[in-house]
Amino acid sequence: MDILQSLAYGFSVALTPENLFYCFLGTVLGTAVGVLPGLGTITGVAILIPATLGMNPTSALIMLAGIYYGAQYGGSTTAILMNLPGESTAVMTCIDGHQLARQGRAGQALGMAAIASFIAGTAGVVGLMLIAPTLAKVALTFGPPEYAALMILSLTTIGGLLGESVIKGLMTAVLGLMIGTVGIDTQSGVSRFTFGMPELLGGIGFLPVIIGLFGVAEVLENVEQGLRREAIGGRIHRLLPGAAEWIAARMAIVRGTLVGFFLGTLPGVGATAATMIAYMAERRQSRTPERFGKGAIEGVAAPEAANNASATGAMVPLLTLGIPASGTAAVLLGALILNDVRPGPRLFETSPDLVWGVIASMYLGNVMLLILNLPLIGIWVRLVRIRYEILGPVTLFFAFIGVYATDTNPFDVYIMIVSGIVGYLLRKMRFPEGPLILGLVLGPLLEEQVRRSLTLSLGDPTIFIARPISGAIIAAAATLLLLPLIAQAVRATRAGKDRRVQQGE
Amino acid sequence: MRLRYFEAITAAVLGAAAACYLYLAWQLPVPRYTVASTPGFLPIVLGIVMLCLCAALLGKALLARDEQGDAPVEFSSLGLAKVAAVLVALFGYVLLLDTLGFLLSSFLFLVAVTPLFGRVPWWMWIGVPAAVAVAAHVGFVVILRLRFPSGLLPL
Repeated sequence: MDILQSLAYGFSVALTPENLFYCFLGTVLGTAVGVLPGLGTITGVAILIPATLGMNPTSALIMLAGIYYGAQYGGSTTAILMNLPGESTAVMTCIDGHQLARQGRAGQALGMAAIASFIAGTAGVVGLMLIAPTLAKVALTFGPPEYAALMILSLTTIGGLLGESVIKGLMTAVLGLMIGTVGIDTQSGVSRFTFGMPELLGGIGFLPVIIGLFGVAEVLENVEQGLRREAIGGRIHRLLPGAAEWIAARMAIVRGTLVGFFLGTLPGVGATAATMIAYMAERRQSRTPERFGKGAIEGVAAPEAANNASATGAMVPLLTLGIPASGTAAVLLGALILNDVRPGPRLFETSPDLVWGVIASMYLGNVMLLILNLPLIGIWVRLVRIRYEILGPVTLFFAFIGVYATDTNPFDVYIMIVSGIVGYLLRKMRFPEGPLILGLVLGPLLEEQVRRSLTLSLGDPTIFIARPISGAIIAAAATLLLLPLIAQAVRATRAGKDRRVQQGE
Repeated sequence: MRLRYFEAITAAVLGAAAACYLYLAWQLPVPRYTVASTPGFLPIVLGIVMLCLCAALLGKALLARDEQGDAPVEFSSLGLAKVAAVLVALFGYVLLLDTLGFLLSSFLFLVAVTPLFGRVPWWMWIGVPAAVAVAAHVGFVVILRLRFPSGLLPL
C-alpha cells in the first residue's frame, strides 16, 4: 500500500506539464543518441548535462534518465538497418536484426525490438519500485565503513570486469581517483596538486573531463578512422510482429528481462554484458540454435529486453546507495551531485518527489518511447542517414558549448581538450574509460567515508573488516578482483602442462 | 606497432607520473589526530597502488606472450594528421573566441573542421556551419541569454 501511495505521489510529480515535457525531451534525445552511430549513451548524457544545470533536480534527473533508457531503444534501429550498433548494448541485436532486414523483414525486427524494449523497460521499473525502497531501508543502517566498502566494491568490479584487462581497468579507476584529489581538501583546507594555479583550487571539473573523455575522444577516433555507413534502403512496412513471431519471442523477452535487470543492478556487469549473456542463453536453450545468426526473431527480442531492463536495474544501486553500477550511471551520479542532490538511502525520505517522480516518469517514458519507436520509426530512419561529416563537427561544437557555457571559463575547455586526447589514447591502447569516470565521481566521496571511518576507529584500519557488512563487502570485492587473476594463472598452468605432455610424447 | 609495446610505454609514463604524484603527496602536511585525517593519506595510498599497477602492466607487456598483446595498434598518418588538425582547430576556437566573438568564431571553427570528416558539397560545407552558428547564437545568446563574447560583430 505504501508503495502504491508513493507511486501515486510520483505520478502527481511526473504528470506536471514541466516534468512531462522534460520526460518527452529526454526520451526523444535519448532515442536520437541511440540511433546516431558515433554518439554513445555516456557521450549523449555528458554533453546534455550542462542543459540541466539550473533546472529543478527532479526535472533534470527525469530528463537524464530518459536519455539513458531512450538510448537503449534507439540503438537497435542502427543495428538492424545498418549492421552498426548505435550503442555497445545493441551489438548482439546486429547479428539477427540485420539478417532480418536483409530478408526484407526490417519492420518486424524494429517492431519486435521496440515491443521487447517496452515490456522489459516497464517490468524493470516495477522491479525498481519494489526493490529500491526495501534496499534503501536496509542501507539506512549503514555507517561510513559500509559505504566506503561499497565504493571499493564498485571500483574494483567495474575496474576489473570492464575491458580486456583487469590491470588496465584498475589503472584507469585509480587515475580517476587521483584526478579527484586535485584541489582544496575540504576537511583540512590544504590545496593539493594545484601547482599554484588558482583555476585548480576548486578541483578538476567533472563536466570537462567526461565531455572530453567521451565526446571529444569519440569524435577524434571517428575522424581518424573515417566513419562510413550505409543504411538498408526502401520503405519500412509491417511493424507489428505476427503470431508466429510472438510465440517464438515471448519467452525470450521474459528471460532477457530477468537477466538484464538482475545483471544491471550489479556493479561492473553492465548492459552490454547482459545483452551478450541473454543472447547466448537464448541460443543455448533453443531447439533450433542453427537459426541464430541467420535472422532469428528471438535473437532480437532477448538482447533488446536485456539492455532496457539493465538500464532500469542500474537505477537501483544509484538511487538507494548512491553507488553507480555502470559508466553511464556514474555520469548520472555526477550530474546529480552537480545539481546538489546526493543519492543514497536518505533520498527516499528527504526527496520523495525526486525518487518517486523519476520512477513514475519511467513508466510514462516507456510509453512515449513505444510511440516514438513504432509509428514514428520513419523519422529515426531518416536520422540514421545524416552524414557523419555533418554530425561530427556539430558534436564537437556542442561539446565546446556545454563546457564553456557552464562557467564561461576557457580553462575548462582546455581541460576538455586534454581529456579528449587522453580518452583517444586510452581507446587506442584498449584501456576502458568507464572506471576513470567512476574513480573521478567516487573519489571525493570515498575519501570522505574512509576518513570518517578511521576517525571513528581512532585510526584503526581493521574497522573495515571487523564490521560484518563491510567485511563481507570487502571480501566480495577481493574475490571478484582475484577471480580473473586466479583463472588466468590456472589457464597458464594448464597450457604449460599440455605443452610438457606434447613435448614428452 | 604491437599493443604490448604501447602498453609498456604507457606503464612507464604513468609510473613516472605516479612517482611524482607520490613525492608531492608526501610533502603534504603531517597528521594532526590520526593518519586518516591528513590530506596526504589517500594520495599516498593511490600513488603506491598506481606504481604497483604500472609495474604489473610493464611486466605483463614485456614478459607475457599472448594474442592480445601481439595485436597491432594501427595509427594511419593521414588519420593522425586529421586528429591533430581537429585539436588545433579546437585550441584556435578558444583563442579566437574573445576577439572574433561567438557567432563568427563558431562559423569559422565549423567550416575549418567539416572537411576533416570527409568530402561534402560546397553548399553544405558553408551552409551547415552558417545555419548551426546562427541557430546556436539565437538559442543560447538571444533566448537563453548565456554570456558569450560578442567580439567584432555588434551583437
